[in-house]
Amino acid sequence: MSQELTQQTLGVRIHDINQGLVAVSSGLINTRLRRTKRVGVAAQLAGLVAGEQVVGYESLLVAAGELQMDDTLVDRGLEDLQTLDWVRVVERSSGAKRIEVKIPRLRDRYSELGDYWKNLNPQEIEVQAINIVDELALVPRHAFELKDKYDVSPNDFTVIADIGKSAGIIDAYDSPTDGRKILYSPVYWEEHPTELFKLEKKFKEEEIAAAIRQVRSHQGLSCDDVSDAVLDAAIKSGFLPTVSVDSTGGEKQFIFTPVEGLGKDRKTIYQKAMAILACVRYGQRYAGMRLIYPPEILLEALKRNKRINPHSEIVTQYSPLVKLRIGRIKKIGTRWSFELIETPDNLEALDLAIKLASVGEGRVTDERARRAVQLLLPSGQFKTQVKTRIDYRKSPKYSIDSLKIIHAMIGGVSSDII
Amino acid sequence: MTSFNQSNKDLGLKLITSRIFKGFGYATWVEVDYFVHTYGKTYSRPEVTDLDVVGIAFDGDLTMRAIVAECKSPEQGAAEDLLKLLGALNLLRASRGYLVKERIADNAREVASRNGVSCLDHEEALRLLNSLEPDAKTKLEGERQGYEAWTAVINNLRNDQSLSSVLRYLRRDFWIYKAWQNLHNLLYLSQNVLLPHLNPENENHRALILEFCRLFNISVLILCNSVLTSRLGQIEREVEVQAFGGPKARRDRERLYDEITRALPKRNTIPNPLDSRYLSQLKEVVTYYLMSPLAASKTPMALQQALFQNYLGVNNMYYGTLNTEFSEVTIKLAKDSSELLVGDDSGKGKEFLSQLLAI
Repeated sequence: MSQELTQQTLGVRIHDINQGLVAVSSGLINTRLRRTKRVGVAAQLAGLVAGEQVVGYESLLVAAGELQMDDTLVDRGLEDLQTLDWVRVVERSSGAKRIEVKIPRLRDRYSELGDYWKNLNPQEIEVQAINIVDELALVPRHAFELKDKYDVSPNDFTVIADIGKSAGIIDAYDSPTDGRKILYSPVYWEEHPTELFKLEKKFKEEEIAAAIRQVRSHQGLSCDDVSDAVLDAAIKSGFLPTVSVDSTGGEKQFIFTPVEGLGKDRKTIYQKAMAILACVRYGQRYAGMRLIYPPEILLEALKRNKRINPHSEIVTQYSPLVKLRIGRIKKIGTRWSFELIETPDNLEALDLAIKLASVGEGRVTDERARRAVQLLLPSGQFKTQVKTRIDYRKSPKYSIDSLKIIHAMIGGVSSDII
Repeated sequence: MTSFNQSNKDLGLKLITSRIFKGFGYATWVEVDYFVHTYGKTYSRPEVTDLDVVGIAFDGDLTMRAIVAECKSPEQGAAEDLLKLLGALNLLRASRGYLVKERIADNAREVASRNGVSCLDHEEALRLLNSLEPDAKTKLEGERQGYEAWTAVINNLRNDQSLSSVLRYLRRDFWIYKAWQNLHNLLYLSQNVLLPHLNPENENHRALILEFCRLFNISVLILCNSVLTSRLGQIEREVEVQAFGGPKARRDRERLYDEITRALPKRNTIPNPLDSRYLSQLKEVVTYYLMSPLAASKTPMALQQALFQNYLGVNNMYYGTLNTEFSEVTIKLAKDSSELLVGDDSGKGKEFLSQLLAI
């Protein structure tokens, strides 16, 4: 049996797979993954409204519609959020409703979601499904290994695979090395990692998974701190992305886990995020002027002040960021400071770097999720990330008139007036 | 000590002044007793003075402003009244004082103006009130009804011995303790006295809860100001520090807790009181307050209106309803701090707040 997942991981996985569950109407999902889908909806709604104080109900319906959640799902999700005491739904005598937001901003809401899901007494198949998705988040795995590890019956495994496939959260291919079925999650792996096959010739899947887990718990791990043979091979094979930084301590490599659910158009964001964190890790580990704060504190300060205060090693330590046009170096007296170039991509990359530094996992939003959140923020400022990985076989196309109506509704105009 | 049972000759002036302060944008309290702690032969808390009208408001950065009024109908004794008022200003660290009397001698006015105190005789007070209020007469009548309604609540409750500590805290203790002390005291009284003993079906009990929410809200706002001015980028940590009196006071408590747990047998270890459940909830409330400080600064006025209009049923005290007078965010934040005060697992607290939560 595997080690039990933490509440936080449970909450994260439920959130991750929810978009797939919501997008597909399936009797199997509704019967076998009912509680998971329910908590996932609550998680997605929480992600949509986090950062706001008050949201109009109709505005929320429109934004949730972008994530393929209909009003029934939204209402159910709001009930769950009320049970969690994360929102108040206030209905006026006119019938108009508003959502007063109390989503935790400091507490770990994924842990609370995971706890909530557990208290709903999920079916065993739901627990197994979440465990399998968590495994596949690390690395693609042989189907038979997962079946044995989680003691899943053949029938249940077929159900999990079928539900996963139809929801776009689990897929399979035949291993080129042994011909056996390998499961992977398109939520986390955009492409088949061919280098993985080479690693699998030398090491067991559990060993590879453990190595990736090690890096994920400390993104931007220095190669000098690697003593594990599996990790060493993974780095040399190019399976794990690395970023080089060259400064007063010499050139060093920093390791990251592969990107999650990333489209080709978003890879740049992740590259920038890795570069940002690698430069900070260099200061943490090697610089003559040692970083005394946790990296996420420095990065939060960079986000707030848009610069890093002058010190003598800025020029070399942050040169990768200059090359990537994340920032520029400015001379102040005899020393140098780093100034952030405030483009939306750079700001998103910085947010992602903060998440990688503090949580170990990051998510790059796709355009649809970004649009959903922006619908609630007329100023155009992007505030929160919502994890989605959606297979848009039929994306709705809006006319200009429809877009105007949507924006008016979100802006507070009653739907019966429009 | 001012008694609600005595006839109150100065009441008319107090109500006019309270209305004027509301017009200035302050939340007001009429007849506050001010005590101090002394330790002569024994520890006691003798009365120092009574404050006729106190007004509290918050700026956009949540800096608190307090104003105090001394309202006395006899023309004589202006100098003494002025000195008393100056003392009260100092005690409350109020920024401004008002001396309101039927008539005020010129020499008293001269001394007052040099000391940052405004003087208003009866006619001047009414003139000022009329300049602030389109319908001063009706609103003044509303002030009277509000005063009588609240007095009736207190008189109905004072015979209940289980509430004596609560009523005492409300009328005097709150005004002498520091804001961070009030946070803990109010939470404690709420969870250990109010919720166990009060009945949500009882209108007087509901009004009492709202008044406690009003005082708690003031304490939360002062905490928010401490966080905003010291380290806005580290809300979580600053709440942990400022909610216990600052770095030194916090450290002293940590040491005390360490020593107590060392002294106790292992099976009797107490949960860490410096990391209680309500502290994490307080951090969340402070975070939301600091997301919208301007809206938060209006919450005392919003809770005042909720108390008198929605809980005591005094309708002619205000021009509109809470929804028309305040933003959705202000109303939401007022609910947030109130729920923190009376929140409990049984849901009883929310019953008391049902009228507020429904707004």
